[in-house]
Amino acid sequence: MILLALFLTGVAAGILGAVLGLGGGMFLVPALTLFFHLPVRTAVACSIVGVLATSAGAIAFAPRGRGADVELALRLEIATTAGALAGSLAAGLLSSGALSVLFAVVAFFNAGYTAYKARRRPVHAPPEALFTRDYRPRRWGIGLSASALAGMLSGLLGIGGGIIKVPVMYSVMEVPLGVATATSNFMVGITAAVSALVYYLRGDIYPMITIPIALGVFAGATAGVWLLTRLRVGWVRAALIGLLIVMGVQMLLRGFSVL
Amino acid sequence: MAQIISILALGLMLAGFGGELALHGNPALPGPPAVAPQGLASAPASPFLVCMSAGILLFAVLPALRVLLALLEYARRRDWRNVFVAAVVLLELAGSTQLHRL
Repeated sequence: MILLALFLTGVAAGILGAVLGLGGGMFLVPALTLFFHLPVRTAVACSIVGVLATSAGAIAFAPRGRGADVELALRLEIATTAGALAGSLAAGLLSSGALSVLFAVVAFFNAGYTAYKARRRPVHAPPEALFTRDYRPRRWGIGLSASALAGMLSGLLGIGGGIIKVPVMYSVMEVPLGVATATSNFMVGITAAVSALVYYLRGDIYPMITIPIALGVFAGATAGVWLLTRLRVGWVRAALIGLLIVMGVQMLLRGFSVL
Repeated sequence: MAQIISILALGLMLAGFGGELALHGNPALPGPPAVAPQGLASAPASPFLVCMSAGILLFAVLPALRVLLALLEYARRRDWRNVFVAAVVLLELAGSTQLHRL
C-alpha cells in the first residue's frame, strides 16, 4: 500500500514538474517528509532521482517539435552550474535567512513581471502559442545572470532553479512558454545528475522507496508532456504565477524564521 | 540513444523491483541502500538490488550522456561554438562532482 502511495505521489509530482518545467523536487520533498515521515536526507535523495525521472520522461517522449531548445539549455546551463558551484562555496558565508528573502524577492518579481507582460499583450494580438519554432531568445545578459542566480540559490537552498528559469526564459528572453518549460526540464536533469551521483556514492539512495517514486514520476512526466501540448498558455501561466507567489511567501516566512 | 538508455534504465529498475517484491512479498522499508558502482559486478548482494542500483545509476548518467551526444552532433555539423559550449558544460559537471567529493 505504501509502495502504491509512493508511486501515485511520484505521478502527481511528475505531471506538475513536466508541465511547469520545475523538475518536481519541490513537491516531492515536502510530500515525502510530511506524509511518509522519511528523514529529510532520504527524501532529498529520492526527490533528486525523481527530478532525473521528470527530466528523462519529459525529454524522451516529447512529441516532435515540442522538445527542449538544447542550444539555449546548454548556454544557460554554463551559468547555472557556475552559479551552483559558487553557491556551494559561499554556503558558509551567507545566512540562509537572507537568501530565502532574496529568493522571495526574485519569485515575487518574476510573478509580477510575468503577469504584467501577459496583460500588456494587445487585445487583438493573435493567440499566443505554447510551442513555436519562430522565436529568437533575447536579452541574454539578463537570462544568463538569472540562470547563475538560480544555480546559486539551488546550491545554497537546495531548491531547483526551474522556478526562476522558466519565467525568465518566458517573460524576459521571450521564449515560448512550452519551449521554456521543456528547456528547463532538460536543464534540471543536468543539475540534478551531479547531486544524484553524490547521494548515490554516499549510500543515501534506497532503491525500494526510490524506484516506485521514480517510476511514478517518469509516468507522470510522460503524461505531463502530452498534457502540455493540449493546455492553453493562459492556464500554464496562471499556474506558474500562483506557484511563484506560494513559493515566495513560503521563502519569506522561512527567511524571517516563522517556518 | 538517450531514449534507449532511458528505457533500459526503467527496465532494470522494474525488473529488480518486481523481482524483489516477488521474493519478499511485503519488504521492510527503506530496505538496503543502492550497491556502490564498483560493487555492481562483484557484489554478493541480491541480483535484484544490483538491477535496481544499475537502473538508478543509468538514470544519473543520462543527462551527461545527453550533453555528450549534443556535443558529438554539433561536432558533426562543424558548429564549433556549440561544441565549445557543450564541452564547458561537461567540464563543469565533472568539476562539480569532484568538488562535492572534497
